[in-house]
Amino acid sequence: MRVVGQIVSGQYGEVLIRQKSDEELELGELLVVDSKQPTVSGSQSAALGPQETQDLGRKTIMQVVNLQYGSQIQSGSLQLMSGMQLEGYGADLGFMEEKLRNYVLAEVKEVVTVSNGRARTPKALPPFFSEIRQIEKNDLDFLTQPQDSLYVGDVRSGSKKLGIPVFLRGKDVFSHHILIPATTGRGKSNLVRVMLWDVLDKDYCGLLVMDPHNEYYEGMDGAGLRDHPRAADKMAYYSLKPPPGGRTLIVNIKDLKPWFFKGVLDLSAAQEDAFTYFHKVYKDEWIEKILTLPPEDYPKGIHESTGGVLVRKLNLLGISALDGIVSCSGLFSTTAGETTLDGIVSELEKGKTVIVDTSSFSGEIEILISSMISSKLLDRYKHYKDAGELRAKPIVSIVLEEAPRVLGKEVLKSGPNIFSTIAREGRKFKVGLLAITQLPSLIPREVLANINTKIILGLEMEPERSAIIESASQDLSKDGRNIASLDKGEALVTSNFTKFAIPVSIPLFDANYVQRFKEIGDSKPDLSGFS
Amino acid sequence: MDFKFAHMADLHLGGWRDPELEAMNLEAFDDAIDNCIQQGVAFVVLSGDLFDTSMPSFDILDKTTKNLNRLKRAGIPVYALAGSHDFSPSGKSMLKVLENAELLEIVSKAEDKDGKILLRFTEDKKTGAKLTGIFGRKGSLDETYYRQLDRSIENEPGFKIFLFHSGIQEYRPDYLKDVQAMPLSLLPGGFAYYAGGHIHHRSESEYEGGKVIFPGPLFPCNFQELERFGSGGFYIVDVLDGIPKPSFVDLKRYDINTIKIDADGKSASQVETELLEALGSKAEGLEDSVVLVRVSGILSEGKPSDIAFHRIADEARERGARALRKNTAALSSREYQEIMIKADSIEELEHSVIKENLGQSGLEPDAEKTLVEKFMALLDAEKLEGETVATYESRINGEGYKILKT
Repeated sequence: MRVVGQIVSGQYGEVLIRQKSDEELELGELLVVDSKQPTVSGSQSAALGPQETQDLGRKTIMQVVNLQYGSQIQSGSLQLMSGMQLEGYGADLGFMEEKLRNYVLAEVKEVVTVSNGRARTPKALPPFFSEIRQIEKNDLDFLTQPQDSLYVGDVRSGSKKLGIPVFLRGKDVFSHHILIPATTGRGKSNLVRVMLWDVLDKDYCGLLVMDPHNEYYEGMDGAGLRDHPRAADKMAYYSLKPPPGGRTLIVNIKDLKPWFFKGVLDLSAAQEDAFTYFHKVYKDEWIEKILTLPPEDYPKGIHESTGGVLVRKLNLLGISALDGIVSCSGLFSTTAGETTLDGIVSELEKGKTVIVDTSSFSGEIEILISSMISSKLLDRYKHYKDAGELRAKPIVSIVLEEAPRVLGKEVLKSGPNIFSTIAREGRKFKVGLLAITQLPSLIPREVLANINTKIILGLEMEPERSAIIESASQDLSKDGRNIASLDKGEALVTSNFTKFAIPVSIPLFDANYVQRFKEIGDSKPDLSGFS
Repeated sequence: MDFKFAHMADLHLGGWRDPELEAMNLEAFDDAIDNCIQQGVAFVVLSGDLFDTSMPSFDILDKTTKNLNRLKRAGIPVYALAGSHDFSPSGKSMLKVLENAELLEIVSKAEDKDGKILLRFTEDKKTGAKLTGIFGRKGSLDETYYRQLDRSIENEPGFKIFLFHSGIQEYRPDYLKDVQAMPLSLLPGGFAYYAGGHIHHRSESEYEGGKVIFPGPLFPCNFQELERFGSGGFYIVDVLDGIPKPSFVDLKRYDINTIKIDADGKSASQVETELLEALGSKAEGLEDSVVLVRVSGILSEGKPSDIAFHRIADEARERGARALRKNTAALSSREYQEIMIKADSIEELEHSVIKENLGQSGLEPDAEKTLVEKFMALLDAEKLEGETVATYESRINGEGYKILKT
């Protein structure tokens, strides 16, 4: 047992320990106090000096939240000594009994108490003057792998990796939403790849990944999700120009309805109403009519200028008409893609991971296609709930990059959208969100409060940290510095479904990571049936 | 050089139990061959399911060989591949026999090249067109071949035709959304013409500059297709300066007369009377037509079998109709509600029965469904002529273990 310090003062949530001189505690480091009591008591103990203690079978895991200097020497004297050394007056000046007089004090908070193998929220202070030691693997034996698990990294103590994998209860965390807040370059995409890779081995969850940078399927540096041994069965990739095996991302305009434009296209109320009215009057031909009707034939109440705007908005989506014939480019088609949206939702409800490459589209079209798929998915799952069939269906989570585009305060001012609806009530229908953002402060508090798991990577800006700390599932009020000091690949997992906010280190998703999972199989093709 | 060829698929010869409709199917085949000879096509492409089964009856074979012989005498080669219905895993199918008799040539030829499937081309001597393709298999087992394809064939020079027998997800119509189909990207690029089959829905589209054509069935194969399409056809493709220009040839020879009766609250005899009256009102248009009768609803008295459909059929034939088909899948009675499965085709019926019985194995429902479908496709395989019982059992067991292993 390696003792690294001793409790010297403090209060609940702000315990001070003195660091042993030859140790170096780190922010975020996990430490353990084993609860012991003396085997002799009362007046006898004072006369006996160092005494035997009885292990109470209970330990408290604590985490370093701040570090500061401590000294027995008055501050003024220290400054004088320093001045003498610096200005050359006392080159041979030194401290007497330096290790005793000058030291580091670590402020720690209680994280979890473990007793008889069970973890619970600590409610008492550990015994005063207890020695505190480094955490060991068996201290975290209570972290088990649940059924339907989701791997999010390995336990980290400061910067040290303990080699203990952290598994969350996948069904719960996905259905109760996940937020990954992080500044650029802190490893968001890497974390998502690690999570997606893990889910590909599982059947309890389908994942819809809207991929605006096309970084997940082929990946980079020789490692992408397509390298997963189960990719052929468990994953579908949609793109405008897919590689062999990928599906073409093409949607028939019959699937386009006016309500999908809300919050996606920049429309005035009159323009939104005009779209709705055309759809009401002309049903499946509403787009064709907008594009081909002469203004004098517009339905009553729709002004010529409004009609012109509607045409331009459709043109932005690649839908236009020439000589009365509607034609499409890009995402939409008049002839193909009739079953694309149905197909995507069907794949999700089979527990597959569906990656949709939106890198070729503008932000508006990306949000539009995300809305269309998400709406169809939620409708179908609502139907299953009504029919009593929801229980047998896997959870589906929608991975959304740059979440404030659809969940931000400004966007939601003009009314709810499918994503805010899912954030609010999706868990009833086993549909969740996995939202990724650099700016969580832009997301309304009530939405953040509904997201029950947050995997916090490095956040440099204080307002962003505050937004997360205020809505965290555990008390992170002391963890501001901890979060600010998170290095690339380090995270803090706070969730309604964990006993404490777990510091993790996320493995690097690269060719080496992928290689560990690759199966070596017989690659000889079956040519029976060919001449 | 400029030339033209014919593209047909999904003839399903031998598929109709109704002898009159089977005869009409064969007549459509006759018409198609007549047309090909008249138009002087350079060759005919058959993208699968020439037969409804890998071992068709003697009569079907007899008529088929006669037509193929006509083409041969006219100097028109036939390039074909097996579809999901006429495929045989051992390769011992009637298509092979026809190939041995030099009545057609199977173009699905391949070799193993470094663990990939390298397709070989068959070259048409007259035109220099190069043909190759991948046969169809039930349960979309053919998709595996596409994933293992050596794509160096994309760089083969010349006018190339790719034959295939599979649905394409991107081009699948909404009403066929449950039909298994593969992604378009699995097709090899660089072909001028993709001769599709398997999907009984005519469509024209493009892929990497080449035409992707599904001709649909040569003749409707079931009630729904008669109702939806009325007739079938095939394509004549003019190739001018290496650019294919397909034109559809409709083989319509007869009218379709549809009678729909809502049986809700009616007795069986009332429905029968209504049917006869409806036939009477169409008397002038029944000559040489196909009559489709769709009765749905819940009878207040009697049961569906109390309706004398044979009498309706006789009446229709007396008035000159060639055939009558009925669909009573959505008809039931208050007294007898035995099977609550609505299905418009055998495939749909199978699909519904499977769905109703899922959940008994302990597997995830979708995995269970896939497993059941694969086993049904496997157990559908017939014992081949000359194959001993032991060999047949061994073959089926072997393939079954492979399915379980995956």
